[in-house]
Amino acid sequence: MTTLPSPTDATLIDAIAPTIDEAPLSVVLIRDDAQVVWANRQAKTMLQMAIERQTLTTHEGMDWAQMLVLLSDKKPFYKPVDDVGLMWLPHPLERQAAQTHAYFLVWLVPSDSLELDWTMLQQDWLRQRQLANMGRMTVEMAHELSNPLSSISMAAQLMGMSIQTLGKMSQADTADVALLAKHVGLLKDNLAHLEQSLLRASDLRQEILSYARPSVIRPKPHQLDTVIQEWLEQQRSHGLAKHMAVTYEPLEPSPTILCDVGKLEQILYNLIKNTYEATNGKGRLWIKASMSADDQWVQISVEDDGPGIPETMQEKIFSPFLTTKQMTGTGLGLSISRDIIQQHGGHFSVYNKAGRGACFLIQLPRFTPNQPIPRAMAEPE
Amino acid sequence: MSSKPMASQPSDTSSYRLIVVDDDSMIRESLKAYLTHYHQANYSLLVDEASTAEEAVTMIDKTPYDLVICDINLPDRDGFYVMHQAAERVPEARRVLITAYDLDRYIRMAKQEGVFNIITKTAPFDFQELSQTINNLLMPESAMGLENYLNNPIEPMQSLVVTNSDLIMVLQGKLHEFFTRFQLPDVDALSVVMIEAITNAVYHAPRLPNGEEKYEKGQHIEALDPDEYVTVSWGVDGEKLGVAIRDQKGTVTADEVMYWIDRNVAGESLMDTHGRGMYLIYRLMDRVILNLYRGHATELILLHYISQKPPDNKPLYINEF
Repeated sequence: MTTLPSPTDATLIDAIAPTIDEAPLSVVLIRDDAQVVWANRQAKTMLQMAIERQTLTTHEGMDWAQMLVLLSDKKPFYKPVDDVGLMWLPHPLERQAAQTHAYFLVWLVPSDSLELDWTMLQQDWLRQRQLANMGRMTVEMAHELSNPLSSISMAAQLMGMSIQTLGKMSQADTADVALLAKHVGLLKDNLAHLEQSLLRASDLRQEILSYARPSVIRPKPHQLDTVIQEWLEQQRSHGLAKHMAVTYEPLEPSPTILCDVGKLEQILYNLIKNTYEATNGKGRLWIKASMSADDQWVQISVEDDGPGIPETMQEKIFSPFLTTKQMTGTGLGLSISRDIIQQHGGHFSVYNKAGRGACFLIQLPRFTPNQPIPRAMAEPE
Repeated sequence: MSSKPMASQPSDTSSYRLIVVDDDSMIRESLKAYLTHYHQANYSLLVDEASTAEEAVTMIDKTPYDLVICDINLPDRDGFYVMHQAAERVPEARRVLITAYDLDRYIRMAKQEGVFNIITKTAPFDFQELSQTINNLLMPESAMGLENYLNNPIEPMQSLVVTNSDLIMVLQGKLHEFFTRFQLPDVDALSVVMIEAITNAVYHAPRLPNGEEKYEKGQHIEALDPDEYVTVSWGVDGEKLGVAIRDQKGTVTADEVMYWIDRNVAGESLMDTHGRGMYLIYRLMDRVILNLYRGHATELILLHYISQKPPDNKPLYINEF
């Protein structure tokens, strides 16, 4: 299995900076060796850190090393330091898979805001991120619409041209049967193009809407094995797995995960659909359950023997409007899948297998019986 | 844009082979259908299709196409790769790129690969413009002349030959009046841009034997030499205004033009005075067609739509011959 390059400080900062640099919250990124590798604008002002320095070193008022001890506990905490308080919330971006260092996003709040509602802050955060993404996406959406719109315009005009020719023929004394047949054929073809392009534009609209309205996650404890078995049975009787070879390798004993079953099924469906489309229904799929090496993460890998992810696409595989146009979707599927997994506090990554095929890896936090169950994650609709 | 009779075209029906490369099957098939059945010209087009870069290169290997039309965004490699491979295999092939995206991000690559024509997938899509572009590519000399770009002009085309520098100001007045008459919203900006282009043609084209420019910008020129005259034509059809500026030198190269556009797009040229005119023209006008008839003439065709504004993603049309 070849893994994608593990993110460095720079790639991680590139990924988070656009969404939170201008956020009205103070956020710093701490590496597990107690280095503050990045701070957003607000945080720099708050800590009076030198903006020009590439790597921010330990701020005198802060004991980052001690902070890390607290962070490793994985529980939300609030710690006042002088007039600045430090707050950490378990957060989708707090850690990325497949990297050498662990990173933590820490929110700094003034000491006088001790009474802050954490859930509200987290919702604020999600909204911020959503808004920033929307701005960039609007441009991408407009571009993505160009193809179907342009081909709708082409098909409609070509139909007009054929109709004009047929109109002229209807006024002629003798009928040119061959020409008539040719234009009827062209009309048929172009009508089919028109319908297909309209469908594509409509699909795109649907996907944009589903992205714009983030869904609420309602997690409950579930046996992983039960979730996958039930879903697979359904897929085998009247879903895509009816036409495709899907092998499932369960893990025993089956771990418990905290998840929204409907959402997880949606992701699994997206993955099976991707393979189905990439291999014209001829591919095989393997679903494997496992535990991560450190036993902290429940892993579901979905592997196929399809063409894999082209090298040129690996970097942008999660951009919302990635499309190769041959796919029916817009690529929003993967982007949404990752968001859902992150809302679960997990990670979603993609690898190319050494031989052939792609591997999608879902990592969800292992659920322990006395863990509190949140009512809902993400903002209500 | 009617297909005009072309003097250079042999009287017998000739045909050209072309390949359309696009992974969007609907666009690809529509382009093929149009070019095969509706493109009006006294030659016919044999159109092949490919949906990936590798497939296209394999086909170009087997058939020396006269024209390669290729989408930039392909699933395996990009259109520039196809252009590069096509140029290596069939140096005389005409090459044109097509894209649904803004050109700005592609100018540098296009310059590197020497591709000076990029069609944009607009909605509505202008098939007449496509026909004109194909004609221009296959027979670049037919690209010259404003009359080729105006369908059924609603008034006689006018022109003025600039024989001295004072006439530039006279032209400014005439063009300003022309633009005002059609109630264009940005008359002042347009007039300035036109004068910038005309001034460039008058002052930059004439060279001394050592290659240096003969005149200094702003200098009063009592009488230009007859071979330094610049012809400015303007006219209007039902949908657009057109202005053509033509010198008799033909010293400008496509590389130079691309250089200035690229520098301006990249924002590297705040202090440049030389290329700014070209860039402003490219920005302000709906369509810019540059005909570079090396050693004979440089012609700038500028079109401004008055009926329906064309979509924002502007194409690039530079014909060099």
